[in-house]
Amino acid sequence: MQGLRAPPVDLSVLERQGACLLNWQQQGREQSNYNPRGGGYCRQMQTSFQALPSGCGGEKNANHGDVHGSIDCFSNGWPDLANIRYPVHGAANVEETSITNVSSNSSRKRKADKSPRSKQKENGGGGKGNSSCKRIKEETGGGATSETGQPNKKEAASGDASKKNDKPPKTDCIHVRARRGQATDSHSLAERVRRERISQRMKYLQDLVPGCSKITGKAGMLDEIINYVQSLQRQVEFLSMKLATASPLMDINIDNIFGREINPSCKSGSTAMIGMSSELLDQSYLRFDSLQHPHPCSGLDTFMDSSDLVLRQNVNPPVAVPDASFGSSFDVNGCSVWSTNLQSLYGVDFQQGRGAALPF
Amino acid sequence: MQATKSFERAFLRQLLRVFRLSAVSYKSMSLQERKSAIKLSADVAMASARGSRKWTRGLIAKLSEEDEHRSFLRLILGTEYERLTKPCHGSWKIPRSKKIVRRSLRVCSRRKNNLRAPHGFKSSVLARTLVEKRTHALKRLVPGGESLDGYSLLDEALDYVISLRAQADLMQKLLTTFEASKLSALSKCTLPERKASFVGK
Repeated sequence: MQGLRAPPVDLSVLERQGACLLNWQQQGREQSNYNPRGGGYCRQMQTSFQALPSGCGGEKNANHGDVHGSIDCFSNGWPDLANIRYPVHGAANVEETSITNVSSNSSRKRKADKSPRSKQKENGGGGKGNSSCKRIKEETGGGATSETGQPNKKEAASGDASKKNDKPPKTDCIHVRARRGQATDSHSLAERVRRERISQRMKYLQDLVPGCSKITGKAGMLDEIINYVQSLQRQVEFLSMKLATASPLMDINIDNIFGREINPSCKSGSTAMIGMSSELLDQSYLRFDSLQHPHPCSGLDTFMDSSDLVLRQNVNPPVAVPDASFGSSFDVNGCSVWSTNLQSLYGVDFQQGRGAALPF
Repeated sequence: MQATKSFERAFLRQLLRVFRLSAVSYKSMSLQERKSAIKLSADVAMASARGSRKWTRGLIAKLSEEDEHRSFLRLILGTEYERLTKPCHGSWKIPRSKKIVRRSLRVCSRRKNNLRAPHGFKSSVLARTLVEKRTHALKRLVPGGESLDGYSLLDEALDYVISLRAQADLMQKLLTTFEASKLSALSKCTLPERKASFVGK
């Protein structure tokens, strides 16, 4: 990880890693779309954390207090959780969330809740205080950005019906407040954090799986996810079968199609295969349309037209079109069992997906 | 949520590379063999394009269970193969006898049920068992999911779903490309050639 390095003055190992995280994120900016929570980062972080004597769990982590801090909430034996970052909005509130001791100390002093368990040497004054708050320190984000992580945490912390002042959590730690009338021991708070994270993941999955906006329960959602995964896997099998039948001379086709520069007006930057393939597809569709070749499969015409539209990624959504035609084409090919699945998949998919693809 | 363009690009690149490598053997294969070879190639391309995640490792591990696939995988992935098949830090699985585990689980759940619902059936217990059953089913579906826990399982499932969707999309596009090119190629032939090619199919 070259490039940016946060000033090493006040940084611990964690913060430096956070700076590396920032690099990585900036390099693979798109990756954040994949997993805004940075779950993939835990791989990197895990390797470095393994070097530490990580007891990794509910223990008080006294051995490495100055690095881990009080990661004493995850008593459920989830090493991954302890390593997942809560990066901070770097760009937005850099002036607030600087990683210096002074600001973090002052922010902590502003809150009346000092956990007796905080062990942040870098933050100095994490003294004794109100035991109703528990500080879960995971990592100092080093200015790394997260679209969704921070707002959610802010909601979690400030949404609690706490009598304390509810300023949003600053810098680097997750402040979890015990709600009124709820137990304040570490286990239940940890449970609550865990549940909130799981519900957040569930929300993402709800956006992902089509037709899940109405389902609220965990069991129902899991059911839908399972069905969706199974149907996707079956779809892949089916498509591979179709590919096997469609091109027994696959090598020739590949070389012909992807081996040459078909469209001279193609952008020079888009040597990417996907770019080429869409151009090629457009071309082949144009040729096909002009041919009036009597094709036995009439559904295929509409299918190609619609996928042509889809592939050109029109801004105006003719995306309603693929719905019916996908279904019809697959019916024609004798797999009517897929039509409803694919209609639902592709219909909602493309509405969601194409809309999201535009910013690219 | 949408798969990123770089992932799609890497995926397609890998897939085409795999096809080109294995194209020679396609001619001698039967339909079923071709289909499973294509599926294998698609899975390998997806896993290698995604990089190192729990589910990619699980997938590659599952695929390399057969010896013939292992050499193929090694060819495709090159040096990455060794790295990806190295057991992940957090997922050391202690080999356990399934019977013992199942028995202990049964005892534990019975004890829990006795403690918490001695007088009858509480809905929370029902809800919990439902969720557990589904979690187990999801663990079986997501490659490498057996050793995952709650949150990370959902995380991996999220990633896996995105990749699967991208895979299906890509294969669909490939399919239409092939068919389109085939049709256009046919149209260029003269009539007798066209008849011959139809007969040949």
